[in-house]
Amino acid sequence: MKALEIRGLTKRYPGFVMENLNLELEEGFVLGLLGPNGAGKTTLLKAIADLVRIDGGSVLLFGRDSRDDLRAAKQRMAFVHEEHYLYDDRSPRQLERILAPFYDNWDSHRYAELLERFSLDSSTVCKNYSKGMKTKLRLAIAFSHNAELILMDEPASGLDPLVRREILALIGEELARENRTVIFSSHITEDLDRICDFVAIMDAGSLLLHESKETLRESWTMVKGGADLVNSDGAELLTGIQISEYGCTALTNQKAELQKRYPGDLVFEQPSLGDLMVHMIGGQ
Amino acid sequence: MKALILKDIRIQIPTVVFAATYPFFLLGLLAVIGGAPFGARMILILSSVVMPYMVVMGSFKELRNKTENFILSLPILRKDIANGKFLLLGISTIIAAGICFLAIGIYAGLAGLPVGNMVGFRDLLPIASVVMVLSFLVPLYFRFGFNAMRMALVSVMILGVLLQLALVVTSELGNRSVFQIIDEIIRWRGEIGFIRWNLSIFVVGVIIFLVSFLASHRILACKDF
Repeated sequence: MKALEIRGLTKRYPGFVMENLNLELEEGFVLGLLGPNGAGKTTLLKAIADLVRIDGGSVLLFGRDSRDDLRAAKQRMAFVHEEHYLYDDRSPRQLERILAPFYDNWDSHRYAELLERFSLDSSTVCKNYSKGMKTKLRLAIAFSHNAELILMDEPASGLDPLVRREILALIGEELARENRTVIFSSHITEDLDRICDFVAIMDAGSLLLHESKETLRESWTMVKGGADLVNSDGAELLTGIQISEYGCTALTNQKAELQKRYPGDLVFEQPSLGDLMVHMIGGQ
Repeated sequence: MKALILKDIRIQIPTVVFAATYPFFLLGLLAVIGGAPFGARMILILSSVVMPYMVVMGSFKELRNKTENFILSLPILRKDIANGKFLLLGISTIIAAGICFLAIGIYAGLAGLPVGNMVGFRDLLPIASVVMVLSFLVPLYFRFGFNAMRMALVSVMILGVLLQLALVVTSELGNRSVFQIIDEIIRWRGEIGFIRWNLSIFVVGVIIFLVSFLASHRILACKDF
C-alpha cells in the first residue's frame, strides 16, 4: 500500500514556485529528500502536514485524500521540525501532559522508555538541554504515538558529526522495530546515505529525480575526462557537466556507449549521493 | 478542542493563578482604603475583563516562539486554533466573573454589607460586552503577531488616558469638578436608560466578536506556518 501519494502539488510564494509535483512512497520505506537550501524540501513536508496551504493538487495519505479527514490523517503522522518549537520552559514530563491528550494512541510507557534510552532526564526543563538532546526529545515525541508516517525536516542539521551519527543510528533502530514510513529531508548527503531506501533530489521547487538508492547507483555513473569532452558529440550522453582546470566531470546513464566511443580515455566512478546532487543541480 | 484548551491553561499556570488571586488582592486593598460598593463593582468588571485577556494573551506567546508550527502539526485543524482561543476567552471570562462574585461575596460577608447592593447579575452584561469588544485583538494576533496586538492594546489604554485627560480639561475649562462631570455622564446614561445603554454596548460587542471570530478563521485558513 502507498503511504503517500502526491499528485500535481502546486505551491507559490513570492520568488518561489513548486509546480505540479508528483511523488509516491510505499509503506515501510524511508525517502530521503535531498536538495540545497531553498529547494522546497521544507515546503513539501509542510504541505503534506497542512502547515502550508497548497495552491493545487492533492496529498493522499494511506490511500485517502488527507483533506477529507485531516485530523485522522494527522493522528497517523508525526512531524519532526528542524528547530525546537516545543515549550522551552517545560520538562519532558510536563510536555507529555500537554501532548498526550491530542493523540488517541499516545504510549506513555514507550515515551518513558525512549527518554531513558536517549538519556534524557524527564524533569529537566528543555532550555537546559543541548541541541542534540532537544533533537532526541523531538524524536521521542514522534515515536511515542505510533505514527505510521514520520516527516523529518533536517532533524540532524547543525549537530556535530558524533551526535548526528548517534541520532541517525537511533532513528535507524526505531525504524527497524516497526513498519514506519519516513520522509527525511536533509542537505547532508552522508545522512541520507545511511538511512534511506529512496532518494528524491529537489531544486527550485522541482523534483529532479526520485528513485531507489540502488537504482540510482546502478543507473548513474560519474565520468571524468578532458575538457574537450564537452565539445565532442559525447556531450549529449552527459548530465550535469562541471568543468575545471583539470578537465570535466559529469554524470551519465549511458556508460557502455561512452566506453565504446572513448575507449580508455575516460574514468568511470560510482557516484555518491553528494556527487549526484552536485551534478544534477550545479552542473550544466 | 479540550486538549487545546488544557494545553493553553497548562502552559501558563502561574498566569492563571495570578489572575485568579488578583480580585482578592484588589478587594483586600478596597477593605483598607474603603470605597464599596462602587469600588467592588469596578473590581468585578475590571477583573472579569483583565483576567481572561491575561490568560488568552499568555497563550499568544506561541506565535512569537513559533510554537504554532508544532501545534499545527498535532492532530488538530486550523479552525480548532481559532475556536480554541475564543472558547478559552469565554471559559476564562465565566471563571473570572465567578471568582470575582465569590471574592466580593466573601468581602461583603466579612464587612457585613449586603452583597446585592454591591454587585449582581446586572453586571454580567457589561462584562460580556467589554470582553467581546476587546476580542478584536485575536484576529490582530493571528494576522500581525503578538507585538502588533500588544500595540493595539496599548493604543486602547492610551485612548482611555486621553479620555480621562479630556475629562480633566473639560472640568478646568468649565470650572466644574471632575466628579460633577462624571455625575452628569451617569445621569445622561440614566436618561438613556441603563438597559438600553447596556444592550447597545452588548450589541456592538456581539458584532465585533462575530467579525473577529470570522476574521480569525479566514486568516488562519490562508496562513502558511
